Amino acid sequence: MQHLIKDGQTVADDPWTLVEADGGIPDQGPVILPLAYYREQRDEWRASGRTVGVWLNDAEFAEDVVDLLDELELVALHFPKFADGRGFSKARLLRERHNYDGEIRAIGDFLPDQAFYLKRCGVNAFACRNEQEAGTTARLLETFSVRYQADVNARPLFEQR
Amino acid sequence: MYVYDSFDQRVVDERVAQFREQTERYLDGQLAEDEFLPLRLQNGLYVQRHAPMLRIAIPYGLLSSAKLNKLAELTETYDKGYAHFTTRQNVQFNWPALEDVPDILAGLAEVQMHAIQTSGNCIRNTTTDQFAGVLRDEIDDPRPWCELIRQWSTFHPEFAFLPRKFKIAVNGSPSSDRAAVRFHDIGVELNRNEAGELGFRVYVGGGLGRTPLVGQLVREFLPKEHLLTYLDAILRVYNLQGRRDNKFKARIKILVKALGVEEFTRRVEAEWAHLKDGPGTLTEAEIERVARHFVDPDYVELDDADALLEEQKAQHPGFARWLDRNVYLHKRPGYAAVTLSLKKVGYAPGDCTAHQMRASAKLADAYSFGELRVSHEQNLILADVRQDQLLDLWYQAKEYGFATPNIGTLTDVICCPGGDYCALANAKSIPIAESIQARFDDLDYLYDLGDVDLNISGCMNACGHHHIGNIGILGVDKKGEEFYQISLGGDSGLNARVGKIVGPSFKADQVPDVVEKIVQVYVDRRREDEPFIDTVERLGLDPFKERIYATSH
Repeated sequence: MQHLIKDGQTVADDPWTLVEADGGIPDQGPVILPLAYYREQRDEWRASGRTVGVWLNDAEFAEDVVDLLDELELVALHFPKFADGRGFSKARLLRERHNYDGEIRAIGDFLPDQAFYLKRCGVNAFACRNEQEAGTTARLLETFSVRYQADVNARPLFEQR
Repeated sequence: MYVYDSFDQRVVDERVAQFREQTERYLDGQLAEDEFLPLRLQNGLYVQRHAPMLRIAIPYGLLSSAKLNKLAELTETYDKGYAHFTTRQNVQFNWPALEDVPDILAGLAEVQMHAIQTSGNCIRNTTTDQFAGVLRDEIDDPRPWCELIRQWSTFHPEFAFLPRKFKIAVNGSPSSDRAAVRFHDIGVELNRNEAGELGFRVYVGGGLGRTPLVGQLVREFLPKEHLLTYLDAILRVYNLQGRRDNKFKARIKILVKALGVEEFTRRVEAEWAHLKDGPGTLTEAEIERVARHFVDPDYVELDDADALLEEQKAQHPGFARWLDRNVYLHKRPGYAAVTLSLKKVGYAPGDCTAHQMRASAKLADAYSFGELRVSHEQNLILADVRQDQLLDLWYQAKEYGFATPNIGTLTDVICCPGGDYCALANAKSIPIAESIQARFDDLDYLYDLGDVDLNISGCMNACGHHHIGNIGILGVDKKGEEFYQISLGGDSGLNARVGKIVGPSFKADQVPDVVEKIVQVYVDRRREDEPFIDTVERLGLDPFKERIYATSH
């Protein structure tokens, strides 16, 4: 059971199913597929008309999914360990360089305490490990009211000074 | 000195609230040990041998008397009444209780201080020359650029979970490098192009630790408005491509070495092509806003006091020595920069008691516009002292134990806390420093030897910068026993160089003898006015090895 925070709100009935690299695929409903698998089976999935997203493992980068972004409603970034910060740059590149405007979802081993940074990098959905962490994540999205740097949502602070 | 506006103040206040809440969740069991770890580290909090250790940032080494008085108060309230100034212009409390740390941070925030990103795999405190802004030949003042980097790096959303720690240093002088910029992940040197416009020379991939490497030049001239977007590009390449599988190979220096500097530079420039002229590009207004905080204090129109000082020197030989070693040239006639030595024999290098903090704050108020600096050599500096007040200052500094006239000499030892405090250390370092200081207590001999950098680290993490000491001492563990490896020829300055190991390591009680033998070779073989480091360079290691390892009869 996932505990999803999306755009700052708890989502009780998340329609998406996350498909593991070697996992089974449900017959219906939106699915988040492994990127490599989707690439292999792309024609069939497009023909099926189903709503599809993909997830990137730690060795897959924003450039690896660029040509698919128009057909994906969701891109999930998998955090193998919370200390692995590559997902921050990936999210930012998807939003800022490749202008992706679908859902970017953090999955895996991220911490609620990283949500503030992740949001600034363009992640707008968080698949949390449990209910308590989902609550903490929602609460920590706005930890700081001042942001020095430019990010996906804002210009740098120095323009206001 | 930079003064916070309401935005900056909110950042540190909200940080205190955040850490208080995180500490509560940890004590509550909501945050696991390994999850709390990176959060507390990014607030400078380690768990050490005896107690937690809290590292507090002193951005680019600038302190006011009010800040120092607050540090004194906090060490007395929450610690044992002293603190340790580090080689990266920070200050450490060695004995705080975890539960008290949020209150310590709140106290720091009252005087515009913090412990943000003083540890962890993020961008650390930016460092610079302790004489920044008062040097005679500076290209420009590096401090506004340090502050701009501080703000850019504070809670940078993309670079808080890097493969490894990341250190940036800035130097503004063309004739010296007291910031050791080529031994940092990024070294920034102020520079002017042919048109006279200000910009930066950028080095990447320097560092000490297990694999000491000198930083490589990636850009000869970066126009000033592009500083932050260029840093973004370097950090992004590192964040995405740096190794995360092995913490000993995770620093950016390993990436630069693996790719080669040409390919690394190509990747940075390709990334920067997207970021250049983007929202992070600095505006003239912002550069000026920050620079306004670093204008000269209200200097009095004076002439150099040469005649007076000559007369005072003749009367007080001790003052003459101090003037020679601890007082530095100043850009303004009639002024001087003074180093208060924290290297008194019998005290751990860089340690400072609450009493000494208050005393130095008082001296700063009386003689130097209420400001101080911390040097990477772990001393305190009064940067703007009137030459005609130097004698008064010397008397008072002596009284407080700050006037040891040993700056730049063999006993001005750079030293990490070592095995007495640090959980990482293989060996003790402070007693080694003390034994060397005790051996070389003859000041006349010390002056005759002149400039010798002696640096001691208790393990290969190299907090004591042993690689770049003219004489470097590294604590190593051999089957549970503490030994010390000696290297020669390291140089942290413009001639950036890593020292070479002389041979098998020594026991603690042999170290002063070995240092003495090294020094004897220098005395025997030096040419007139030849500094120690040049003699080592000219002779090579062999004559030193022969003397050190000669069988005693």
